Amino acid sequence: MTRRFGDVVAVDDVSLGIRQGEFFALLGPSGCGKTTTLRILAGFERPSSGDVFLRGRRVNEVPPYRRDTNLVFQQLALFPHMDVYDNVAFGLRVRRQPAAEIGARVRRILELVDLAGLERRRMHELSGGQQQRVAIARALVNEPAVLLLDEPLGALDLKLRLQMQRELKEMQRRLGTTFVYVTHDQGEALSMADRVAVMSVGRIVQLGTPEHIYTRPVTRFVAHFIGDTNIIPVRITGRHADGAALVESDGLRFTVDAANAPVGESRHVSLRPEKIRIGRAGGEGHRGTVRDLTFLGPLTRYEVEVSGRRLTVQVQTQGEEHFERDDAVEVSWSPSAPILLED
Amino acid sequence: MIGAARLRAYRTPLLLLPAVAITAGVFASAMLLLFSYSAYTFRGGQLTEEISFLAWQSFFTDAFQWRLVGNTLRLAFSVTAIALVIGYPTAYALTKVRDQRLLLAAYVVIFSPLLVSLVVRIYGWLLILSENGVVNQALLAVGLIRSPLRLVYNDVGVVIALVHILLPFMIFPILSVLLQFDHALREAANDLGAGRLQTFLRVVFPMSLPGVVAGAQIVFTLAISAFVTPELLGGGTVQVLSRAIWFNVVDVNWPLAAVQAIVLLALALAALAVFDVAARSLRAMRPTGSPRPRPDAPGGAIDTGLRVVLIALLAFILSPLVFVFINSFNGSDFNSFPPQGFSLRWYQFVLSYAPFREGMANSLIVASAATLVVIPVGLLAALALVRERVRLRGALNGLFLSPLVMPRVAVGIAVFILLVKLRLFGTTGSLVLVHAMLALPFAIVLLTASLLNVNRTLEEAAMDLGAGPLRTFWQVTLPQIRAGLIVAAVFAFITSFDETEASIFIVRPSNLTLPVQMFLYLEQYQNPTLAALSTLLVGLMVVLVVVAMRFVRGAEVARLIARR
Repeated sequence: MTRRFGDVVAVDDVSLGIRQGEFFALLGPSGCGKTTTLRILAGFERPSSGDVFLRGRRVNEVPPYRRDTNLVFQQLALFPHMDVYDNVAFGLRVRRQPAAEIGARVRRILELVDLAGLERRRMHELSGGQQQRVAIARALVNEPAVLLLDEPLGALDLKLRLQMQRELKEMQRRLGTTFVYVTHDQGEALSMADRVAVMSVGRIVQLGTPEHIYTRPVTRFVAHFIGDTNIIPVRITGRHADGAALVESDGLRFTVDAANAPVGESRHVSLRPEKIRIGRAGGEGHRGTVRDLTFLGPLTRYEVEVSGRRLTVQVQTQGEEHFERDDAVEVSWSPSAPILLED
Repeated sequence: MIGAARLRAYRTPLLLLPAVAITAGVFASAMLLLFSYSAYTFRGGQLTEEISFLAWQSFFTDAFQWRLVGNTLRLAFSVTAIALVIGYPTAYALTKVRDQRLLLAAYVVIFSPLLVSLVVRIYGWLLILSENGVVNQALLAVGLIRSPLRLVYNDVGVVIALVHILLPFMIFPILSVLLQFDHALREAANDLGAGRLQTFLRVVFPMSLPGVVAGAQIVFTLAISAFVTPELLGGGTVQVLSRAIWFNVVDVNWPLAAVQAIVLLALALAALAVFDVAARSLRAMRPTGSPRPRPDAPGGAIDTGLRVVLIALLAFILSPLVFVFINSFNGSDFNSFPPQGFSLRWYQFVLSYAPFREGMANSLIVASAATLVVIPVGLLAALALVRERVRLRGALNGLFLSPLVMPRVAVGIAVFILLVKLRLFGTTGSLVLVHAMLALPFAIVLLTASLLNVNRTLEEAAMDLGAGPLRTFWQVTLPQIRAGLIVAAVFAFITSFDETEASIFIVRPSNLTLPVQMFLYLEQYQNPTLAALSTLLVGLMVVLVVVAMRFVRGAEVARLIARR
């Protein structure tokens, strides 16, 4: 589907299938179109072209109030004139469920989100974390086919956010409800989601499991956005017998696992800092000089200049092997470490 | 000689003194006197200072007095209810308008009646509703009725005119609440399965109730004490407390008038208290997170309906002024409709008619003097309230705002008795003081608000650069509150220039102000003279506001730049 606002294309030919019961994350920087995509799923925006299917039914024209999805809003959007109970019961009352059933379901969901006993509290009498739970309960109580979450943890402090992440994942596993979770926080997406779609300027640039996206980024954007990496511009100069490509960058030569890259082309390579080994000069590796180092506790980061290029190297802190600024060192990596990117 | 240190110690009381003197000196003492007069005796057409409580006795035992109370409450209820029924959809429609020009026009039209003298508006309704007025002539012409409907000199006309006059006070609080409505809540309700109607009934309307209560509170308190409207449009048939007070003052039965004024006051305070309780129970509705107001896209029959409501309302609000304008060129000697021929003679007559010229001169003098008193006095009090540690701040605020709550008629008779006692009745100075007292609450509220917006860092910067306190105030503080000063001055001027309901008690034939002259003229004559005068007055007010707006805009731009 595609969504335009005037001349601006917010969602550009996005096509994705979300599986029943999975925790799916839409990940990207602000303005990448992830919220618009979510709002299209919720029914607040209509695609300018393309279709949305829910359980096999086309739902383009179904307004949000008749769609079997529920949204946990970024700003929570809790009704301030109602207490916890009335907020959670809202959807059931609007759908004219019998009072007894409403009572039972609201109680059950409030227990699930650990809010039992706070039914009569007003919204401003709740902590940030409690408000968060009300927003989630208010959506989940309707037992939607898909629960949509729009950066719901953004307003919480770090500790509470980590706790809520665990709880959300646990809740999703227990209920088996399909979750679509929008976030700009890669840590959040990687730790909770079964599958992640990385978005940039309205398009999905990569879709896969968190491990896949981390270890096999396809573009410079994905490699950069998820985790830390060294991006090295290279030219493909030759090919080994086993299919691996020989690449060169300012005198730095190494091999890359890439069967289909034509010789002579200029591309980029992603090399994660933790995949680089560092040692004393005199071995088989690439010669370099330590230009800077940062001690991070269990890890140490070095900035090493190799053939006029700075590489970030991250190693486990070890008492015996330790380098200082201006030390001559040697760096190396296994042939599977560098990933040849598409652009 | 008083040392500088000594002066500093008394700074706060000195800043507050003028405002307290005006409010307490004029208002509070007049009110106390009113209570004592209610205990005096009126017997056989004679007023004596014998303490008897006869007036209280006769009030509470007389069925007619109770009927007055009943009529007063009924009138206020119907006006409030109708204003709500018309005002709510209007405010709601205003939040849906996307067309910026229509929106601007709507705001101007809805708030324009505040700039037009009360008597002018009532005169406009007379033109529309009387037997040979616009409505009846139109209905007769189409053949819908055989004989004219009775629309004035009964409750109908009074209610219509009061609704017209008080509508802005209903619309404004509702509108300001609706404009802050968090659009995300509407989406949340939609997402949870509520359609448009359900969302409105369960979320939007309950959340706008604080605005409804605030609007109803203002409209009810003002309707309960309205005097000029029931007097001029009721034709003697609309028996309410305010008119009874007026007649008792004329009959020298001041004790009974005092009792009635106190009853009116008690009703107003009771109404305020009831509405306050309602408002407090709604106060728990603070939204979580930051609200994201956004009008949703117009579309569908409901939006078309709202647009129709809005345009109909704009026509309703403008109609009296339009017909006043048309009638001012009427060639006929009567307020006939349609006008017969075109003539400018009513303008010639207005400009040469001595009572109007004198009234105009008096009004300009009084309004200018009152403004010149109110602005410095209000500024000093606001400075103390905003910047100093004031003990009894709540009580002082209550004192300063109390003239707003009191029925104007009750203020009028109380001040009248005070002035007679002090042998100052009929002096222009006393009129200026009373108008200053009535305008002071607006000035204090507006100036307090703009002082709270002043960037104190700029003052500290000026002092750091060597400017003394006075120089800092003059060159740094004053420019920042210029907009507030100008708006407060315009408000004070208009309050005084239009004041009728209290003034009518305290003017003498020698110093009648223009609205009082118009009131008296309208009680006697029915010709287009007032139309011409009204048109001139509206023109004058438009000029005043346009000129003021020019200064305000410049000042605000300067302030914004200074803030950067």
